[in-house]
This record gives sequence, C-alpha cells and structure tokens, in this order.
Amino acid sequence: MRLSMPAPRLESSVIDRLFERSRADDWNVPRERFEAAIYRSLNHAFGAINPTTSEVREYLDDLYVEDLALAVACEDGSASAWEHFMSEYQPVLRRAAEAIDPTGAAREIADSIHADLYGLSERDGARRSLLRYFHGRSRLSTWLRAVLSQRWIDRVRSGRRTEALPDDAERIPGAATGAGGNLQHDRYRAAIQDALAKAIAALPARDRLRLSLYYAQGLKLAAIGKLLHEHEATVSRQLARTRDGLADAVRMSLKRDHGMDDRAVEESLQAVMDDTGSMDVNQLIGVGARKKLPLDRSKE
Amino acid sequence: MDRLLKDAMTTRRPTPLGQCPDAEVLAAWADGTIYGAEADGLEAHLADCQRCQAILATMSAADPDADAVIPNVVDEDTAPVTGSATPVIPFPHRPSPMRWAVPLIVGSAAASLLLYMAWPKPSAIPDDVRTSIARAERNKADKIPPVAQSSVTPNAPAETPSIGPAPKVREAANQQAPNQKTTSRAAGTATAAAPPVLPEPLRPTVVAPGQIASPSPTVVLTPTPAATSAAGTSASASDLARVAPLPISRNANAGLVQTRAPGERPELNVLMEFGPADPIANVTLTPTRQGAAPSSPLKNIRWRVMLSGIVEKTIDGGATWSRILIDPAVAITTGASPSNVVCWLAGKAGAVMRSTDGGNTWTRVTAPAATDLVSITASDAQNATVATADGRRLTTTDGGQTWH
Repeated sequence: MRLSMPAPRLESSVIDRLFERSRADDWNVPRERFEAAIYRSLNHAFGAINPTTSEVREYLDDLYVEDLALAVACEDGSASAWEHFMSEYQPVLRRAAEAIDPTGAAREIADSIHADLYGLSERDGARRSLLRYFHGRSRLSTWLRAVLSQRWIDRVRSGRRTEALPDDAERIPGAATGAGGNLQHDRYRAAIQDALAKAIAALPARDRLRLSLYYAQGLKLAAIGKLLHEHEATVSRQLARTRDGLADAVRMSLKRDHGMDDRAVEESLQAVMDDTGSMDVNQLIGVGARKKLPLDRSKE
Repeated sequence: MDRLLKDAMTTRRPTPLGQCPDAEVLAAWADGTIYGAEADGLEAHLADCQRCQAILATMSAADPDADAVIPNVVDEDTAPVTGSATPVIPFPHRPSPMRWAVPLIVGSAAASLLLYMAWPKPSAIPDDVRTSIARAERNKADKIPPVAQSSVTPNAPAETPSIGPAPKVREAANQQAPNQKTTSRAAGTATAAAPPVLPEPLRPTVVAPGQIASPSPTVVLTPTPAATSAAGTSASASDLARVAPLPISRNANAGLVQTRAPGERPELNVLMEFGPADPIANVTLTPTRQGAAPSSPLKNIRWRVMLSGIVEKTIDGGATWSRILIDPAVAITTGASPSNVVCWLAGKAGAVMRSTDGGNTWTRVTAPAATDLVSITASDAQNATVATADGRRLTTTDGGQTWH
C-alpha cells in the first residue's frame, strides 16, 4: 500500500499516543499498519491542501482511533476483530435498516453492505473491504448509517426516475389549474412564489439547510438540532426568525418589484393562503424516501 | 406562511455547490468533527442538495438517539456571559480552552480499560462449575444402558425434538478426550463406534422421508450434547463433540453435530447473525414480547450463517455455538428467526428451508424463485417474505408451500 505522507510528518510520539488510545493491540494490528492508516486518514481529509500543525493536531484529537483500529483489523482479516464487529455493529445496521423501512426493503441493502464490509469482492487477488473507506473521522456506527442511507436514497431516487412523473399541475399545489382558477390569484401566487424563491436563495446556507430539513425533509426540531449541533430551542427560534425574515422579504419584494401597496400586499398574501387548499406534502416530496410527515408540526 | 414555505422548500430545485460528499464526510459532519471553513463549504452544498438532505434525514431516522439531548449544547439564550465580545460556543468537538481536561479524560479512559480487561469475561466458565458439570456427565454416563445398533435408525419415527442441554455439557465432554477423532457413524457400520443411545430427550431426532414436505432429502441434526455412551467408551462423547472436518453425510442417521470447544478460534467467515430477540419487524409483537427485558431468554438464542454456508446456533447468548448442518447442496446465505422454535433459512438458487422445532428438523420448502435469494423476513412459521437478487419480493402465508 502506497503511503502518502502529508506535511508535516507526524512525530513518533504522536503515533504512539494514538496507537495506545486506539487499543489496536487488542486486534494485533501492527504499529506500522496503524500508522499507515493514520496517514491515509490525513490524506483523505486534507488531500492536496497542506495543513498547518494545529489543523493536523485538531484533526488527530477528534479522530475515532478505536473505531479506526477495529476497521483496519477487520480489513486485514482479523478473526477476533471481525467477531467483535459482528456482535457490535451488525445490530446497528439491522436496526437502522428497520427504522428506515420496516417492510424489510432496506434490510437487503444492509445485508449487501455487510457482505461488502467483509470483502467478498476481489481486485488483483486481494480482498477489498468497504472498510477501507472508513478513516476514523466519525464513529463507525455513524459511518455505517451514512453508507446505508446513501445507498437507500440512491435506490429510491433511481426507482423514482423510472416511474411516470405526475403532471406539473398535480405536482405543485397552487399552480395554475385552468378551469375555475382566478387569474388575479394566479398572478398573486406567481409573484409571491417568485419573491419567496429569491428570498430563500439569499439566506445563509445554514438557514436554508435548517428550513429544508424542517419543511422538505420533515425532521423534528430535536433531530435537526442534533444534526446541526444546536439546541432544540435554538432551532425553533432560528426557524421562527428565518420565517419572519422571509415574510418581510416577500412583502418588500412585492412592493418593490411588483409595485404593490401595503393593502395589495396583504390582499395577495391572504388570497394565496386561502387558495392553497389541502396540500399533500407527501405528493410534493415523493413517495418512498421517508415516512409520512405529520401534517402539522409547526406547533411543536 | 408555513404552507408557503413548505411549498417553496419542497419544489425548489437549486443547483448545489460542488459535488456530494462521501459517506465519511457526511458522518463526520453529523458527529461534529467537521468545522471551520470545511464545515461552511459543506453546509453550502447541503443547503441546496436534495439528495444529501434526504440522506441526512434518513440517517436521522436510522439514529436511535436522534431525539436525544445533545450533551454540552445549550440554548444560545442561556449561554453564560463570559465578558468577551464573542459568545462561547459550547460545542463538543470544537477547540476548547479547557485542554487540561484531555489528560484527565485519557487517564480515566485508561483506568476504565484496565478495569475492563481485569473483569472476568462472561463467557468463561468457572473451574468449579466446569468440574461439577464433568462430574454430572460422568454420573449420567454410568446410568446409560449399553448401546443398541437398532436404537437409531433412519426410519425411526420422528420424536418430539428438544433442544439439548446447555453446551457447557458439551464443553465438559470435549475436555475429557480432546484428542479423539471422529469416525464415520453411518448406520449399519458394524466396525464403527456404535452410536450411543442417549437418554431422553437427548436422542437425535430423525425425520422419515415421508415426513419431508419437499422431495429433497433433509439431513437431521440435533444440537445434542456430547453425552457419553456405553460405559468405558468415553471416546464416543468426544467423537460426537469434536467432528472436524465433518464428513457430511446425507444419511439421516448421521446426527452430526460439531461444537466449538472453548478457546477454539471462531470461523472468520460469519456472513450474518440473527435471532428471535432482534428488534425487527419480522418478529410478531405479542404483549409478552413487547418491551421484553434485555435479559429475556430469547436473547440467548442466536443463529448465524457462515460464508461457507454452514449454519450455527447458540442458546447461551454466544458463549458456545453448535454447527447445524443441512443439506450440503443448499447454499444458505441468509435467515430469520421469529421465535425460539421457528427458523427460516434462504440462499442460492431459491433455496428456502424451515424449522419449527428450534433446528432439530428441517424441511426444504417450495422454492419461491430460481434465482438467488438475498434476504428473508418472517413473522412466524407460516408467513415469510424473501427478496431475490433480481429485485423481486415473494411472500408465503402457508409455510412455504406457495409463494406470491
């Protein structure tokens, strides 16, 4: 295995400290092999960037070296390591698969991941384990969930591409429906949608992400908080602040870009609110990717 | 406004910045080990990438602690005022001014590690228990009548099977004569060591050909203990216990069992493991099963499928495993066990086998398809669903007789 050594080169004492922390001895991982894994991890994280010493130090401090040592041992074919991995992490994959899809479809993916982790495929006569892509930057359990989730979503998305797409009129509630539609309301709706889209695009990335996770993905406040490392109350407050800011931005845009006065702005907003009818959010998102959303979570 | 936002956020199709991150970067971001400029760049991509957002949402759904309170993360309004212009960000993985805590934590971890290593492992059998088990075995052997050749025949009617005593008995027997090798135990071989007559209910269970649901023959095995047989032939006990490598025989009288002795290295090629205590949908949730305590006896029953196709079972939570041999022509790759007595196995070329007596007898059911089966789920002995390698899902509600 080619060792890519980023600068600066690590001192031997640093490797020793990490090696000791990793309990790599439990799995009979040689120090040289562990050191190679550390450098592979650094290479993956920093790539062509030449990191500073402090960046490398912070990176190594946050490394999940125990999980990395276990992954290295499993990749190298250690029976004891694999047995430990089986007992600790196969249930993680199983539970994750069942949580994603209780009907069992995700379990097939989990089983195939398990086979890939062991390394059923070979290249140039050598077993290739999926664990070679784990570099200790996260918990092994989180990484497994990420791999499972990626494959699941990709399968859902590829399956959706083969399904007949709904008409645009069905896909976007509130779009012009023709018969029975009010032309004035359609204009209001189009103006508001345009203003809202621009306002959303102008938001900071974190605010957009928070909005997407809440409105598009249907996550609860606590789950969003865990992903963004924010307190649940903070998430709630930030969402409310963003929502109010967007409302102000839409009002301002309607006045500035569409020449509406205050009365017309409120009238247009009210018309659109009354006109949305019963929105089927699941239809908007697409069936299959996630569970049904609760219809009203704004009162959380 | 909520409705407008829902509409806008679910229908917008922005072009995300950069390429989608790999699983490790997403996982690292979720675990909070990506920050600074890298985190900013990643968030800029995530904010507009529906695929990555869907992956994060799925990861959250799959996280059992998704709703748990995050330690060291406080509501920003209640954060302590430090007197500096920049508020303190209580983030678990960000550089903290309290670096001195690191050596303290490392020291505590080292102490915990030493304590863990010194703690007696649950799988170890105390010497006094081992001795008493061996003594009990010897006493039992003294009471067993002489072996009779005809006591175990291929046409013997099936008896109510039962799971043998705990494998600890087999371990004790193993240690009596660890160097003994097995011999072929085909029925009618006069020169071979006579198969022992085991006391009820330890006798191997035999299924007559007429009782097999499918035309394929089944090999019957019982995870019986390696009980001693005729007086003085203590080698027979270890013959049963240590069969390596196994001369797999289709003869239903073979009753082949292999038990791994303590200290023997397990096979590396464990493909999958499952059991009735798994918190999975294929387990029928009865009021007694829901919220079963972690110490439920069901948790001790586990099955595992090896890459070689061998199936093993444990009834003591993994302390010891008994190898369950089935028809060697059947390549098993997956399984499901919805209860302590029901087990479904599936594998290549549409092979499905089912046991309703804890693995003592097996029946090969009608193949749902001619293709390889990649997974099976089951709620009981009658209802199971398989997934084929070509993406089909087939279900049976009649114990495998028909699939749809």
